[in-house]
Amino acid sequence: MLAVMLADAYADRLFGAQDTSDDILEFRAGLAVRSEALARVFALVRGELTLVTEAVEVPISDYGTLRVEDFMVSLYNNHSVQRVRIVLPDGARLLAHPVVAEAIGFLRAA
Amino acid sequence: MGERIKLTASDGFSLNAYRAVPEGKMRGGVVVIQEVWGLNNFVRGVVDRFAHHGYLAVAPAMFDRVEFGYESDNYGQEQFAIIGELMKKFSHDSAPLDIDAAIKAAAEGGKVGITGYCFGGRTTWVTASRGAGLSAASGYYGGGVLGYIDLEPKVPTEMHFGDKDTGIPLEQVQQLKARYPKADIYTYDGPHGFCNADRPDHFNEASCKKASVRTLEFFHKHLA
Repeated sequence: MLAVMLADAYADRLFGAQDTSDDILEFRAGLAVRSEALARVFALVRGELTLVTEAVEVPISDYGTLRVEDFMVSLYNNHSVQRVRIVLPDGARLLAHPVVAEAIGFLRAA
Repeated sequence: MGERIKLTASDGFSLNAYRAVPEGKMRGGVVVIQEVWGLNNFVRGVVDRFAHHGYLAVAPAMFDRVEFGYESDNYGQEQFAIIGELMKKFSHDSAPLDIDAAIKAAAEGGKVGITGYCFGGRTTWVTASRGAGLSAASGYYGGGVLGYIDLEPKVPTEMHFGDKDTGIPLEQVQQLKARYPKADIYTYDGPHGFCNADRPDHFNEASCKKASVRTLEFFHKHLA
């Protein structure tokens, strides 16, 4: 959540560094339109979406991508690992780290 | 030093094993339970080492019922899917039969202790909770502590964990310690697999030596 809040705050810093808009809410809304990941970061900070840590089953086909620690954990926990996920309004889940990474990447390029 | 042999479980299943017989007088028997990589170089080396210290040591191939003869000295990610699949098919119901066959073979050396690493560390604790005719158990970084914490050992038991094991939270180790104050539960400087010299990125020689000496002393005490 700290990374989420820092990304959110960085959007405000970007506003301070530009001179094309004098409305911070409008500026942030513009960023959110351009990056769905950043829109989700904003929504997390507003409390419209939530983060949860939960056990996620790893398909055998994904085992080759696991870090060794997750691999060991999965073997003794019904082939599941702990993952931080974003809970969407309809209850669907998204892995949080790729979303936050994408949002940060967008901000760095903006 | 050792040799590959076959064991026959009580249900008639024939499995691979590695056995090493000491020269001279035997101090007892030791069953060595593998990591998830099978009867590989590391496990066979452990068996040889126990024989060097006077124990008739036997390591059963725990995955033989799932994939006969599986073993790997490749610890890379490319093995993860294979092992994940093996573990999915692995039966905790038939595993005791294979372990009991190894205990029987090791008993030719006298009283029997059990040890194991990672998967084998967990199996060591679980087998200690069955008694299984053992006289001592000394397990290393058995994963999934919360999965076996309710199983009370019926024989003298000690466990060794790495304090930087990101797969076994220290909180769980502390819970195990609090639950079984009579068991000797040690932590060492090192990650998961700190006693596997074939994995230089995990191996911590000083910690492994300390833990291994403890295991030997534990077995000397309880298998004499």
